[in-house]
Amino acid sequence: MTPPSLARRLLQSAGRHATAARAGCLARLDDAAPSTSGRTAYCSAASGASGAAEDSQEALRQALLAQAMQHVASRGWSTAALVVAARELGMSPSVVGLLPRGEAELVEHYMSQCNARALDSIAAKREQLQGLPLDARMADALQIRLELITPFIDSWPQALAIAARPSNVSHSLALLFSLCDGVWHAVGDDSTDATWYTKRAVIAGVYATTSLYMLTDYSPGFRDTWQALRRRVADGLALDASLQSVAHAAAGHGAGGAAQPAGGDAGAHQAQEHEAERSTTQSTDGGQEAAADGPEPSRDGSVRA
Amino acid sequence: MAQPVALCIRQHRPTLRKPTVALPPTTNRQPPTADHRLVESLRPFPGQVHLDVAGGTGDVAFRVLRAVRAAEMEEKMAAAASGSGAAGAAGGPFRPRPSAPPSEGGQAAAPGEAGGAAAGPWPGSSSGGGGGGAARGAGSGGDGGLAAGRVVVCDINPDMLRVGQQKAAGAADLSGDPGLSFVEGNAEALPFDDASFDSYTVAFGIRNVTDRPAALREALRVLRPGGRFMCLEFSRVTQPGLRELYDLYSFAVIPRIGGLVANDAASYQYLVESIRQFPDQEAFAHLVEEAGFRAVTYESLMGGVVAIHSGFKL
Repeated sequence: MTPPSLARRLLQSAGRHATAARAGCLARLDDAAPSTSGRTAYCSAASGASGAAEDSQEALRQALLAQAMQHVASRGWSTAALVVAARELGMSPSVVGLLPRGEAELVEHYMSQCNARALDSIAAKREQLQGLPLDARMADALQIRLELITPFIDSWPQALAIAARPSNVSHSLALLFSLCDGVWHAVGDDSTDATWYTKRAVIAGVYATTSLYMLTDYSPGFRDTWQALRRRVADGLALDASLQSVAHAAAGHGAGGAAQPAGGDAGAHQAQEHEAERSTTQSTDGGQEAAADGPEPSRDGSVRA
Repeated sequence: MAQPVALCIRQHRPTLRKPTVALPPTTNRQPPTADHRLVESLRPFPGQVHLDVAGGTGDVAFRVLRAVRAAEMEEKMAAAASGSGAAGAAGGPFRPRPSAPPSEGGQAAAPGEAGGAAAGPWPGSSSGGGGGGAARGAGSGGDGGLAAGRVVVCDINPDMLRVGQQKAAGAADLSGDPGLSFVEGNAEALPFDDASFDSYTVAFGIRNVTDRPAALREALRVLRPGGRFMCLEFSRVTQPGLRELYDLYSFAVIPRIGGLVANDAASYQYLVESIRQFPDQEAFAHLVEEAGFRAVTYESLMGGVVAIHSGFKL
């Protein structure tokens, strides 16, 4: 005898009515890339009034994903995990069709959960982090996020492969960039010029390469990964600083030709100085230099020591 | 009316003989025909109990059955692979992380090297892995104990069913399959119990049903909670240029071909007219929703010539 399914209880508590006139609108499908699936959700005329049916479907999807997470260890990031989850919820496995991209939605569900949890932890640790220099803050923040992968590190290569598929890459990139945005805000960035883009791009690169490194790191407690993370954050912030200084130079302060920053520790210090200088420059000049960002940044920009 | 007339309108399907070991649908290199897309969207899973209505010749039913068998074989192979290769106490099909090497070695060695050294025991000697593997084998054995998938073909026309049975008998992989059955029945009053199927498909059949809402309500009745309804049918052409061309072809060409080939122009005129009087994508989706299905969606194929409607019993 099967216990009453969680899913059916969710539907009942959301107050689904049996009358056919009520909405069956699945608005969420609208953003599921019509160019790839071509599927259109049907929204009845009455759907504007009640989102109850939508909410119950969303609740069912979340319940399915949450239940499937328990089977990822044994079945991987796969439709099989979703099928087992559906059976456990007391529904026919055909209901997995509610998740049009199947296992990719499972991967993205976990990634967005990790993003939310990481940003909460970083916000909670704000006081501790505030005293540290920028690259240490950034490295700690990214470490918090990377540590959340550790329960599934064995199957993470499969998850990344799924996220990299053409039909899924736009969603996973969106999650990656929202993570980077959140981390920069948490770490105290409030830039509104072109550096907004360079900072996020650089940190996205740092995060992605470090997570790949982590896949084959067998050191106890992933300590090699954390060291690599710190190196990459330093390099990344130095690169960002040199890009900024190039843009600044190209925007009208002329004279290039000085040697590029020597990477590593020297770069880290220069990165911090550049941060400080850049923010004051921006506040006084009102971002005019950034607006004049035209030429391709080259590595041999002028360096203001 | 015989379905082959639809060759004029549908894309021609290649008459390839499928290999005896059916590949999973996603790796089949077939042209994206409407049937193929229908079965692909259905995402067949092991142990699926499927009903195909008004498809007596078995086109959709055979595809679904092959896909279900392929999924079952994949699951068996995955279970065997993870059971026999001791994948570690952590369980699952993934290579476990080797335990940390001694500290002096670990510090200096490159991760790959340390990984390589510790991974030696992996291929199958760890006792923890053996225990985990056995437990998992029992677990997946329990899953494998789930009844094998079945497909039921239901049609009101016994002649169509007979053609389907002959085709099945002629196919090497389907002739001995006990999971395929042919039942005569009316879509408006199905001879099946409530909640007895995981999925229901009707391909180019609901257009010919007199009482479509009744057929949709019956579909809802025989589906299990969570079950999926899918309907492949002609629909309204949405691309502007294509619509005129399609109308011209339908009314000027098809009845003439029917007259020449089958000596029955009137039936083909009826066919074309019945296609026109069928509700368009949104109207049919409304009908599906009124019958009680939720999460109703539709996908237009070939510029709107056909559409696949989908709904769930939630």
